[in-house]
Amino acid sequence: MAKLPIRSLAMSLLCAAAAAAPAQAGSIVLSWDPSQGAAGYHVYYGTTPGDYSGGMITTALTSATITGLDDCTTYYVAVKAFNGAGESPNFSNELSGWSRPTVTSASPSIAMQGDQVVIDVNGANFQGGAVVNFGNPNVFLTSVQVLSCTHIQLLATIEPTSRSIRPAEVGRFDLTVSNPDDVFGLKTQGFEVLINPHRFDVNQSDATTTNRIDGKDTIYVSRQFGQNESSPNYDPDDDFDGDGWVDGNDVAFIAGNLGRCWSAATRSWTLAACPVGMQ
Amino acid sequence: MKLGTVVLLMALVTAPACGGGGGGSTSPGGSPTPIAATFTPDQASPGPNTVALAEGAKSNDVVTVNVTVTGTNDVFGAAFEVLYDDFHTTFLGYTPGTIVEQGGNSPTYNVDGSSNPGRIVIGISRTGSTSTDVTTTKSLVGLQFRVKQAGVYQVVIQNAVVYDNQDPPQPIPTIAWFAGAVTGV
Repeated sequence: MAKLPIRSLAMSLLCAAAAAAPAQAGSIVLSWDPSQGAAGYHVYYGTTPGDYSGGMITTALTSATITGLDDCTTYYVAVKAFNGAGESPNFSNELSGWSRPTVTSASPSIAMQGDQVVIDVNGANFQGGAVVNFGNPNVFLTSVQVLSCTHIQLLATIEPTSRSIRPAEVGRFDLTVSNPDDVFGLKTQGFEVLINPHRFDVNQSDATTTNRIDGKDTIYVSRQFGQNESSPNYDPDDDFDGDGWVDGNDVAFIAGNLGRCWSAATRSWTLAACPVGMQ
Repeated sequence: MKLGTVVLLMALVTAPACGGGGGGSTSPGGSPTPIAATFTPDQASPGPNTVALAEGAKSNDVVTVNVTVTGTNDVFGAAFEVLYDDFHTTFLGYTPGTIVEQGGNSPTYNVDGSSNPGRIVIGISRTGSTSTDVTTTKSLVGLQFRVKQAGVYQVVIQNAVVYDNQDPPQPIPTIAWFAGAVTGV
């Protein structure tokens, strides 16, 4: 049997299509079109163009994951098909790329609604032009700088920074870094947004209610009850947890602090912070 | 009666100063006499545009003080605080009234009487955008008190507002508020 020519071997590095796919340090995922008559494929790789002496893996599939690679290093990959007659004499076209980005931490990893904070994202295989996503549409990232292949620094604005601005949702969100080739890595629940309790004081109509939580605040929120961000009358000031709805959770945030006053020192609502006559 | 914003009854909360207190009576045999709790309103026949406390159900040493609204249109909710003598009386809890539920609305009752003894912080309202008219006298909420010792114990209302259903809600002007006293005999 004649050796198989490899036809239509259009390899491409994959961006990991499935978000559930774990970010694996030092790995490259690739796939290619099948070659007719092939029993399997040899995937060769190395750190110099045209020199695939770094290693070889064998697979019967049309995709492979090369692991154990050095971080921040360009690898060159090509594939040959084989069957019982032997291996194709020709390599496929050559592809190159870095290992998948890995995200190990964000520092700080917690911020409060209303904060503007410089965040250092640490990991590996960050390329120039990498895009960072905090999984929270109302956390705005500016001044993103890839300082090295292991360090990205950015300025995060956790809305709302003033009234009438749609708040960032509270909770823990996946932190994703995507390289320009669309290969990405993520840290599950890598960044947390905390609620800003100072926002609970929605009614500041008079001196007795400014910086104090009382029934007037609950009524303001109850008036917005059931509104969501697609409603024309949605008031983001009453959506404390930023989930896009003014609902029972938002009322509960106030109800849990009835009669308490704002302590700037502890950033919380306490009875001790109230004037003597209100304690 | 003062019509205007809010009538604050600045009575002292402590019972001895109100002429009450002094301990429960004792029978010749030495066992304490059971206390009967009542509530005496400051305004027994409130007119239109008023919120008044009124006596509700009572049993032995427990009396319910109903917060009633009379002749007020466009009511969305009310926010107020009730000061009471927490040495001689105990706030037991609340029972929903009938006003904010009208029309099948799912209201919110936010009543905190535990974090700050002697002060009940209250916010009661409908949810959504609709208000309700109170053409007669109806109850907004019932507040239950237990009287621990014979005497007269003033109840005071502070920071009281009835709101309409504008967004955000606006105070309804010219509402007069009337409180009263819990009595144990």
